[in-house]
Amino acid sequence: MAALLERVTIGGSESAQDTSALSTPNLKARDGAMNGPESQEKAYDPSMLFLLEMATCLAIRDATSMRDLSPEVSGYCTEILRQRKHLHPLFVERTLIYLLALKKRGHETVI
Amino acid sequence: METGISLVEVIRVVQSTQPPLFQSLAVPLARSSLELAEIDLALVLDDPRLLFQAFKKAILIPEAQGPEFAICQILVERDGVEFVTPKAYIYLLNLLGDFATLGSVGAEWEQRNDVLQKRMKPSSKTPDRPYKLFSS
Repeated sequence: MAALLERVTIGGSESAQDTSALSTPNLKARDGAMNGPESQEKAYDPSMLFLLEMATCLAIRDATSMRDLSPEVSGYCTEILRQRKHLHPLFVERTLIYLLALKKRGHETVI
Repeated sequence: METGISLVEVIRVVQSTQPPLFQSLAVPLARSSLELAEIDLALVLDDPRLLFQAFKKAILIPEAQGPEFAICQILVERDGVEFVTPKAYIYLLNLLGDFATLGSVGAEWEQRNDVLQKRMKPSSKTPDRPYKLFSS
């Protein structure tokens, strides 16, 4: 799971050799205001979204996976939300959905 | 199971964004809040001021109106709801007033004080009459 989540980086394929920078999103997107026309310029990488969605699906699969995986996935989601200014709005939106899906499933799950 | 995910923190994130990102985030927030409210209302009423502020800000977004109003409906109509604190009551009425102004719902929703007052915690209710200071 950690290996999967570590691939959730902007421009992951470009920086794949640089393992030291994998644990945090690579902030290659331009600095500046998040919203407005600037957000159009932020790179959108569907593979990041795919990996995060897969990680979330694996985490919410059953009670055991919730216990074992959800803290890590939710940690990544929270970090992505914190760094929202540098990320594509679509990615931020989906991350919010995944985080709240984890919360919901957590409260539905009785261990 | 406790997830450690704070809805209050998520709402703060959404609140701090500006359009058009706010529009993108407010809709999933409203939908997810409704899903959480259906499990347990206490999950969404940790900080009613923040929640209803976010709802108020997003009230003009058509996709957010449905789930927002559904949460209000749960608070007003569902039996056994004990989470309408005086604080939440004010924000709830305010939001219902906004819905009525928008014409999304009938004006009668704004007049649900009687129902809501019954749902308030007894300890927090203002006494009907002042205490007698001197017994006669």
